[in-house]
Amino acid sequence: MMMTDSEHSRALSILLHGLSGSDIPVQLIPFSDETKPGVGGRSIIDLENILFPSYILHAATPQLGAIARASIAHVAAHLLYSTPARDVARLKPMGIAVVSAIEDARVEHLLMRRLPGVRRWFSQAMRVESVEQSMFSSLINKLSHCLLNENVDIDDYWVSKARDLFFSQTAQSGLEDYDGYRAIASILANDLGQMRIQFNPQAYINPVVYRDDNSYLWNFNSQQSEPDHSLEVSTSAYAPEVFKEKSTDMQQESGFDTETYLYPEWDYRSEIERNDWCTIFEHTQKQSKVLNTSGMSQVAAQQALRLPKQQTRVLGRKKLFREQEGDLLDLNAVVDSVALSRQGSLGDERYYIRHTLREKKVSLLLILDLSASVGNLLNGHSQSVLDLEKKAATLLANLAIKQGDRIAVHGFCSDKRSGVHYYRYLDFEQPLTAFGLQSLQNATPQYSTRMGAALRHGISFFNRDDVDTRAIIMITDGAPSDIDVFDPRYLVEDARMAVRDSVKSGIDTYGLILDPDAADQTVKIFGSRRHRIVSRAQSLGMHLESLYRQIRS
Amino acid sequence: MDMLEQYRITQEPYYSASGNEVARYKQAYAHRIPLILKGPTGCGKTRFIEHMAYVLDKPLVTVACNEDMSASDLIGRFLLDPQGTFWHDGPLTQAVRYGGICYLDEIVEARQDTTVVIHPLTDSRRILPLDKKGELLHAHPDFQLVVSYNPGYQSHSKDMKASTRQRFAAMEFDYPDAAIEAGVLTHETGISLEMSAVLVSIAQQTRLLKKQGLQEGASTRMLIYAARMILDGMSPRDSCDMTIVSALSDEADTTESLRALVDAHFA
Repeated sequence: MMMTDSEHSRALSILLHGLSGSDIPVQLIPFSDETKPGVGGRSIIDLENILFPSYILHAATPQLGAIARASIAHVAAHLLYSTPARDVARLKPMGIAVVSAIEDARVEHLLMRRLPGVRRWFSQAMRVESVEQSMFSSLINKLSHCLLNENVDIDDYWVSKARDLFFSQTAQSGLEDYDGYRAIASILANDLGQMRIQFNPQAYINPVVYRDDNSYLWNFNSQQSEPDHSLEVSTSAYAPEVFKEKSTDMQQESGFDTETYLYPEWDYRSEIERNDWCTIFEHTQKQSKVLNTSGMSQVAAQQALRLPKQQTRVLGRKKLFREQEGDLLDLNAVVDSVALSRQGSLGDERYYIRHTLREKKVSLLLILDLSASVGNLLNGHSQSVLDLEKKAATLLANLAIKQGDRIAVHGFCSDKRSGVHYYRYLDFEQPLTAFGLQSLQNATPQYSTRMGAALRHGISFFNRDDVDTRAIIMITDGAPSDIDVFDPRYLVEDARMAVRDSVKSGIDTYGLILDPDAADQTVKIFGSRRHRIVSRAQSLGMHLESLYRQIRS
Repeated sequence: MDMLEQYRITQEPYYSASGNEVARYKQAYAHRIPLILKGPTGCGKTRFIEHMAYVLDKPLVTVACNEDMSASDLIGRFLLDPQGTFWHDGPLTQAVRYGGICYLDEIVEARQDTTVVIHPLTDSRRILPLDKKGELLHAHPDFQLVVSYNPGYQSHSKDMKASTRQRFAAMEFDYPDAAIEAGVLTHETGISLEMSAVLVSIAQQTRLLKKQGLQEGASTRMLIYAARMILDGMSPRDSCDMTIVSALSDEADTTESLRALVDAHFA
């Protein structure tokens, strides 16, 4: 069975977790030329992610092939046994490459000692040749072969010297002695210098395809004065770009598909509903983006990728009569049965009353206020209201999905009535993908709070729902406002009308208000029963959860 | 006649203690304090209680709880025969009446309204009212109530009521240390200690994956199955594939990684 990219990246994350105990997620990184396994970058280890070149999967078997397994085992070996970010000090680029190759071999041997099966993975993966053929690369390639397998035939003096030094060091001081191996690497790098072997740090790439780029091992900051010689430039230069691209994407909303909708607005002064008054720009994540960046950015997201089985909750009990088993006797049935048996025939044994459960389901839409004011930092904290909103929304989404409920997370801000922006981060029935979470994380505060239009648009998502409880929770830091409205009551009345509309459609709309001073206004919108003031912003998550539980109960 | 004869454990069940749990249990029993045994699936909770019932020479009445279980399933109910109705004691009532340890396995699987019947038994009253029969049953001096549950496994909606929970003292169980677990495996199956250690290492890796793809890691029980298959001549890879990999997950990505983890252990 073919696995999808997202299944692959999940499988790799699980394998890495099992092998190393580390829950750093594995993200697949596509490369332009996927056909030649030797071309392109190597995996990159950082503290947030393992970036894993997808060609390693595509070049291998449909299942997790030897190269993919070996790649992950190699990463696991580094995570378990290598000290990260060592100072490069005075090491020259060639020295760094040699020390890295020796370290690669050392940690692999440590892992093989614990898990003998991985030797087979490494040996199989080692057979995949790198395309690059510089003299130096070819030496490192041979070195890696014979350090993995002592019995490989070697015709090169330097490589065979390296092998002898490595294995005698192993025999004498054991694999844990990093300094001993570092000393060997220095000797070997020195030899290469004397042999006048050319080394081009810009073009160099680890010749062993399944291994990582070794940037994990080094701290290059100390060499910033001479960046031209840094190995980092050649091996992991693309890594920051991937993220740069992603974040600018989000800023410019090019990661979203946009559609426009028109909604009415209520004018309390003339008591009329102005048709087609507000324009909603609805931004939905582009589907292709969701698929391409299927890698996971958070462990939480990983856990939630699959919807768990729905859990049953009791809404009501139903009595079933004349059952074979049950808690109570069904007197009518008993009488019938006894009558039958007194007559000498076989009594009917179905004389119990049994209770059955009916399932209750909740559909919940969380709408976040993304207006400029939520970007303000909280007094004495480095977090803004928006940061807390994002955190609380992620937690709630996780919780609701776990509980088997339907949840959607949207956000809005407005720039006059002609530009109400509505963002859909997570929709009903959609798994909580890393990309959805990421786009929520990237949401930036801007513009104002035209609540009514956003609520009306939110209500439209419920139309075809037929669940027991339908609810909207709107989190906002204050009363609605916009720059084209000067009467403070106007948008409050409009939002109140929108809430009324929602109630008419059978949707309970709740407001979580982060500004106690706005309470007078917002209570008019949501009504006292569905209105909560969060006086300490830090407790937003708690309030949200308790409100959710109240809605469920 | 011993009414609970069939519930007596005649052969000593093997149990390798990880700490002072045996002494702690004995003390709790001396005061008949109701107990919760907490811990992951297959870590030895049931084996422990069997061992203790044997050591204390008390009958052990075990009830596997489930969602459809009703209070009548615990207490008992009227049944019909040609002469009329007659009362049939449920397992809990039997243990209360004749003096035994009643073990409610995975108690949170039962509905909360079912489990409230144990309330009057678990305070100083130690009584069990049989409403339908019109009898107030005072617990036999030997009676003790023990329940088990797995905290990581249940969702919030399946949790113990606070009013139920605070009637119990609790003992926490976890998978034993690698050496002890390997010893258990060898003792139970006769497999070499070396192979036991490898199986335990596989299990420990799968336990790391709890919540990351697996609801539970491989249990000691699964390892015992694996070891038995291996002893029968099955290759260790196939045996683990059958008893651990395929048993733990149905998802392609998860089984694929589990298979690789097993493979990594065998040269």
